[in-house]
Amino acid sequence: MIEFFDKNSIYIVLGIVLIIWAGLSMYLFNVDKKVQKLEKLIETNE
Amino acid sequence: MKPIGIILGLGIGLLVGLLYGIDKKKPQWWQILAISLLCLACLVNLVPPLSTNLQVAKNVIKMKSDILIPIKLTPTAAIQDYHSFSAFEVKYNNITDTLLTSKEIAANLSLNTTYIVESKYDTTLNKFYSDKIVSTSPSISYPFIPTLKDRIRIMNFHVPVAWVCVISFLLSMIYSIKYLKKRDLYYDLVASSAASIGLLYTILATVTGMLWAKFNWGAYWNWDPRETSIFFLLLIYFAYFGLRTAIENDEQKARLSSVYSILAFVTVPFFIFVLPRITTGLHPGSKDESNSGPVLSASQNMLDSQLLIGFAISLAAFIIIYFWIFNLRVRTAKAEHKYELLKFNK
Repeated sequence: MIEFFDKNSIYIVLGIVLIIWAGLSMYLFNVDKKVQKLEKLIETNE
Repeated sequence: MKPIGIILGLGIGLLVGLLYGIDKKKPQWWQILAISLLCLACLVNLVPPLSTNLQVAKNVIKMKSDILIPIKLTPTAAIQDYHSFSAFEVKYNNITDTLLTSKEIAANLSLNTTYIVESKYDTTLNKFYSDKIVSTSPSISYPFIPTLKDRIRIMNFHVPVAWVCVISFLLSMIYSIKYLKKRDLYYDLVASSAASIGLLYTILATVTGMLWAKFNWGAYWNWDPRETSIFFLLLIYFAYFGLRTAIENDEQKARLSSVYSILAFVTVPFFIFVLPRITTGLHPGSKDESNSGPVLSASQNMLDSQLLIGFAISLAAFIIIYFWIFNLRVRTAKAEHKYELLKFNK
């Protein structure tokens, strides 16, 4: 597999772009969860 | 050209990112611009083909003769029957040579048009032979470096992500100082939000660097000075959040973590810009090299001008996306804090 990626190094670049996208998306999901929790708390208090 | 490109990327990123403030909702046009810029950064850095010129290609085959090299050239005249091959007289920057091609390629090549052709060196005839056209009249292409090949594109993702960490930790320090001056918990929330996203970007820079290291240096982790320094940065900022979770009293938490954040940032320039340059290592720009790396070196030739365009766009895009995430994080933390206060007052 290492040999394949060494010959077709564009896939490594794509992998790296995907890692960045995944990292940023995970953080956004986390923030989204916090907002949802906050909305629920406000709703129950109203 | 190089400082202008870097300053433009950095400047546009910071200006657009800070537009409308850090805790006000960004308008829709801003959000569309941020997403478009990120897509453009991906396109500009992934799509352009790699190429080199005849002169460099000739130097490359001296070291490795069986390598496929994408060469950018312009056929100026067709040559009849060159040792039973189709052949063209080709030109690149005043260098003239002969390119051997297959019959199919010869039928598709037009004279005086620039091409990037995948070529192999024919050691018996001492000429380049091509049987594949990579691109016709390419407007942008990245330099072909035999040891990196397509991995050169990683630089335009890995380095901007690492630079955003510094911006983020700097913001965390600025807001920590603001907290210590005004004792308003809002500033502490902003400082911790900046540090948390800075930590996220540091992790991303580490993981992307590890993957790159595996294919260029043979192992995911080599304890190179820059890898060691980013490891210490991760430890320092993980400890920042350890400290915050260990203290329950909000005022005390804010006060102590603000002082810690200021002290932590003092180490950042040393770990990122100084230490990797005064010690020997695998990263470009280390002590055993005569320059300070492709991006920060004063030499213009150290960073290809077309690669610089991709770098500047990528830098601006990652900074703007950072400020968007930062904005969401600050607004959420602010709303959480407001809710806690309201609950407490009830």
